[in-house]
Amino acid sequence: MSDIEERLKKAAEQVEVPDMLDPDVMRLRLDARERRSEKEAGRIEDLVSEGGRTAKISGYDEADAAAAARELSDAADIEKARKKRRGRMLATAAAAVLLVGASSFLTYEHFEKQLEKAGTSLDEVSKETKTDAMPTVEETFERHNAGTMYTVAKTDSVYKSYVKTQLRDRTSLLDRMKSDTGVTEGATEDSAAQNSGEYSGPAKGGDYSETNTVVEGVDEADIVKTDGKYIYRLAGESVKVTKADGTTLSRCDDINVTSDTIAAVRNSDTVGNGSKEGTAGVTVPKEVADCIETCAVNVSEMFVQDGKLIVLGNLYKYGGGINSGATEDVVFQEGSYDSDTKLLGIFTYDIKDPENARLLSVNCIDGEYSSARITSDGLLVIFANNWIEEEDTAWPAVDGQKLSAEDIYLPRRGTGQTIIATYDIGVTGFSRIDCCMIVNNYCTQYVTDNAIYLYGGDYTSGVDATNVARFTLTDGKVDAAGAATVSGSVMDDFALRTVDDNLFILTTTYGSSGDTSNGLYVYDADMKRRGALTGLAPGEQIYSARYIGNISYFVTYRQIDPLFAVDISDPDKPKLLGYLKITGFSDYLHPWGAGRLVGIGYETDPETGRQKGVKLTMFDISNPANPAEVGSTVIPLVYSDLYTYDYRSVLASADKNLIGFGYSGTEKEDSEWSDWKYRYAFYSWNEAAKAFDVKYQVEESSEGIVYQDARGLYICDTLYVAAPSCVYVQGGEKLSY
Amino acid sequence: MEIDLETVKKAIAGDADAFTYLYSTMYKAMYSYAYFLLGRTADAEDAVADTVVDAWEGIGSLREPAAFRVWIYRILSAKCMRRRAYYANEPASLNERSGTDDRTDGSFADASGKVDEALKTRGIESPEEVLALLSGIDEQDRNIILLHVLGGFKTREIAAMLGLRAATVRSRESRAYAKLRRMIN
Repeated sequence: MSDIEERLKKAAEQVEVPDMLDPDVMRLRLDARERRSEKEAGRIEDLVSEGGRTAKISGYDEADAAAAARELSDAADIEKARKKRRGRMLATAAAAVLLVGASSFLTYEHFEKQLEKAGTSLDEVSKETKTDAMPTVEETFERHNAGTMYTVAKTDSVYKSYVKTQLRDRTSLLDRMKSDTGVTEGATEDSAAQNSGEYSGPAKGGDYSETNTVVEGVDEADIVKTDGKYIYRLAGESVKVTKADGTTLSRCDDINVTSDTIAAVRNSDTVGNGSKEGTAGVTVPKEVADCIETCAVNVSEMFVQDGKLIVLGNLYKYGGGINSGATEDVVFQEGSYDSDTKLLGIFTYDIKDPENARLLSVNCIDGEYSSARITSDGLLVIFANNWIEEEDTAWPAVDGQKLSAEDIYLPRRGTGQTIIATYDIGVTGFSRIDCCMIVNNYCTQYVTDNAIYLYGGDYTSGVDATNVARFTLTDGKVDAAGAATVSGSVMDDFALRTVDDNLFILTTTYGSSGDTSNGLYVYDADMKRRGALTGLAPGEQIYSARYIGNISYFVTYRQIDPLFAVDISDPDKPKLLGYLKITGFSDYLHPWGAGRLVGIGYETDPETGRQKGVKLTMFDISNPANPAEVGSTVIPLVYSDLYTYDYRSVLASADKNLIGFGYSGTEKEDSEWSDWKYRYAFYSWNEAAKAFDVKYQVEESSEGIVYQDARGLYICDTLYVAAPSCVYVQGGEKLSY
Repeated sequence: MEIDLETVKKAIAGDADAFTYLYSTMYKAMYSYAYFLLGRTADAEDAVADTVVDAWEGIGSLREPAAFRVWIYRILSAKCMRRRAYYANEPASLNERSGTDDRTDGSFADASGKVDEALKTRGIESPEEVLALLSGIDEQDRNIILLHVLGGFKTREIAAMLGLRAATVRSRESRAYAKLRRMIN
């Protein structure tokens, strides 16, 4: 650890601090702030008086900057520095390119009607892609390349020589890859499930909340789940099971995954292929059986679906010896990770009776847990990460079976490995359908019912760009469809959207002198570029986005916060419809029934840009060309920190009229700053008052609630906040454990 | 990292020179912290500048002079974490999912041709190298490490700043270091 600390400290000493932050300059800035903010106010007003014609407005005014510089100081180097920064500190009004096009647009209802006209409802379409006969693991099919970005290795010797080259050439961590754009090969799959419009909230099947996901219908693993009767939370090596009976919470036995696996291994006979089959019928792969006695399972995330609990967690060896009810604090101590197994375990339990959970099966992947999904067809997709470190360990195995060269995709260069495994969690059993590995330079995964997109930063050219590769997901089989490199960086999964196998992706491009520009790009099923809308809001960054029906909404940030609406009904020609300027900016957007959109974000002072508190905004988007604000509520907690960037911690349901989220901050109490407060709050929209009312709120100071890991839930009409160390219930007593 | 309490008290009372002096003893560390956390020089500069302005506005109500450093870094950390995007991509961290963010390191775009030069003349300790190294871990974990190493804060202080339990901070930090060590070797 000290070696890394040394590197960090040495590197920090070499960091060049910008002139703008020089104490003398900063002092002047503090003094001059008032004068500058008056100027800014004027500039913002100029911006929005333009309308109805194409107008490009620059946010930088040379004359202004020069005048201000003269006022502040005549020190030559300070002035030079100012000009170099292009007036960033001074005139920072947003620029907007406004195009008014007379275009037809589709609201979600319109989209649904169109689908109905085409003769299929969304349900029917998704059924079409599901077949009865699940292919067995042994069946192979020929994989295609993802353009020139990823090529199937095909033979062992190809992969081996790739690994050798990577290990030999790895002199620095800045892998430089040259990748082409747009060239694709390979067949696209036949028509797949249509993606519906906005995700509007409540659970299917039960009156309880589900994990807030990016793509409707595709469930995401999380640290808290509920089945409407029990609340499940992950902690250390266990799953905590809490019975939620209205306002009464009661503790049930924890599910200790490590102990259960050890028990399964001990109560078993060795079977021919090396895996131990327990007397109760639990099959534990040899890799897990061999090390579980000296390991602990660190439960990362889980799924709860149809009476089954699926827990994903990595196995870690630790020096202490056998785990036996050790608490999180004891098990995961410093220095205990020198011998981590890099083995991901998938533990499936029967929880038809959650108080007597039964381990059904154990699977494993050589790698570290990355993420997992369950599609609306019930297909489990698991992503694990590994690295090429040595030749011997460069061949990860899934369920004990090493990946074959035909299942491995290679880039030009890269040593990160993304392993994808798909499983059928059918009624009859848990079986693997497919697995493959994409060697890359670290990717994020975006998963829909019929496709997986891997996207990650491109470091080759020195310009800001992102590599995107599309893989189809058909009956659980994974195959590449194409790849492309798009300009800019992607903010998060909400910046992506698929409609009819077209990918819409929003990016912010950073220029070499810190200038930014935003764009919406469209790619087809082969990842060939179809359309683009670029040059949006130069000087700003995309901060939050949401696609609703055929409109892409996004918020950009620097000083003012336009909410943009782009019509994506024509994939070849995305059109900017309109924008709304308001104070503050939204960090998170959520559709709210027909024609409405909720934003959770911050209120800022329009003159200084300083934060005034957390803000909830209700937008009227019934006319996307003219988004409007219906009302908003500001929570005056300053220096606040919203935890909406883990979107799964947000609970949003238009049907229940609930919006729940966590945040922290401090406020003035009798002219003194209060202790830092951590809250999880549920709000409801009050149409009459055009504001949001607090329905229920929990608050702790310092180490209480751990709001980042908190989840808001509802079961029928009762609200809960599930935090790692406790569960709160509205109208009832908190249960701490 | 000791801060002179008397100077803090003066700053609280409204003494701009005292405040500026305090800033002068901290700004380099604050900037390098923000730079390694965000990976972009422009964002890091903005975060520090905004923090200082906010701190100056609010310092009059700071109750505990001894809490000055924690207080100002708390603001800086919140501002940095809020920007949440535009970091280098990461493999999933050991505990958290990684599906939320995709980032590209803007310092590469900023530096552009400079990076090549840096690689030739400097070793694995150059800021660019360390940035690439840090890009391999989750931003929360990165924040914890940076607050510890560059900010000089104790686990308890970091826990209070981020709203985590001390045990969680320890275990996350430990896991992150293990990952970094593997990446180097």
